[in-house]
Amino acid sequence: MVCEECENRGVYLSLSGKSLCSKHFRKYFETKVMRTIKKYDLLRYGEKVLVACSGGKDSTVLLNFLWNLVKKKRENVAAIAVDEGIAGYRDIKLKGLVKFCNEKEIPLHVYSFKDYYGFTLDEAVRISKENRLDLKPCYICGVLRRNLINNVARELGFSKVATGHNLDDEAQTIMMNYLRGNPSLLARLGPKTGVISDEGFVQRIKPFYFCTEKEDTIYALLNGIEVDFVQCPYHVENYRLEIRDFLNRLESIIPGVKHGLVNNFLKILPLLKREFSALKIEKCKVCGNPSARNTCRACMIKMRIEPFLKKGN
Amino acid sequence: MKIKVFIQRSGETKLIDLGENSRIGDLLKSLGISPSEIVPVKNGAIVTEREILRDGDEVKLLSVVSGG
Repeated sequence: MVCEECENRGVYLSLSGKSLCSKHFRKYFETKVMRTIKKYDLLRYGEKVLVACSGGKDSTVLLNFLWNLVKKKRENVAAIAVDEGIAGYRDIKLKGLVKFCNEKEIPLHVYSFKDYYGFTLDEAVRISKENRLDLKPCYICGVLRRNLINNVARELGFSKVATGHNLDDEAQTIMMNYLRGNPSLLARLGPKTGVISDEGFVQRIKPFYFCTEKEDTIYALLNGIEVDFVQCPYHVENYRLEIRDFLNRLESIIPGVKHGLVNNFLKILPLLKREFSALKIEKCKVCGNPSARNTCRACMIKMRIEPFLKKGN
Repeated sequence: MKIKVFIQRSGETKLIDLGENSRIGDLLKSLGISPSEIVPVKNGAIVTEREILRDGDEVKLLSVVSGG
């Protein structure tokens, strides 16, 4: 199967059945990302962006992409990684990221839950289970990770936090929130997150918003970025996993269903943002961060976990 | 013809029997894997689902799914 633009071997097949070689796929991918950045005003010349990296392919590819994009202003890009304390998982993922950043000379800020919050995710999950706190691992991890990254980005003077979220991730999140009846959470989605701007929030951007996970993987492989398959041990307890497999099954029967879901969602997103823009933002009484309630979710989690740490449980 | 397949997600290696001129897409169907979930690599090169297979080819199906 040869490329439709030249005679080289195809590495990618589009939804419409167009085959592209490695050179023309790169061009297609990069054009799509640049169009997303421009159309949704994700980044402006001279802005400082902190790339939230997990050690996985999507965020590593994004870091590589933005690092190459700002050749003349490299001081404007840095990476942040959070070690949540998941034994046998994050430590392995971060090793690869540290190596990648060292080779490219990209500044990397590594923070751990243990140093920042006083407990690892493994400890928090154990405490939650033993004491029936009903805090799910992915909830604890997501809230605390976003809080940490936002705080660090603000303190270091970054105006944007870029994440490697792709079209598959977004389709899953849309479906999850639809099924759970969370329209206010839907309103926060899109290529740049948030409904209300506040100086305490650093805006999160998703330059790979319209790229599928498959496109990310091909681009990673073509750029020599390792694509491993180390699963988070808490993944099995994740509602997202069910939705992901459901959407992939649907995609094999109806190709393009994920694109349709995301593109149609974007048509109603302005209405959702308008509907929820009147929500009052308060300051968390504990940490002072902007919050929809008087105590933010991160402080709530800390307040529930900490008493059990002190008892040595 | 026989094709040796490594499935990254499960870590399994299988020997699959397919008819002459079968394509990667036919291989995926026989394994029940959606094309959107994998990147096929044939004899070390990334290929598309339309790539024709030959007896003795070695195929790796790299998972596109993140680890969580």
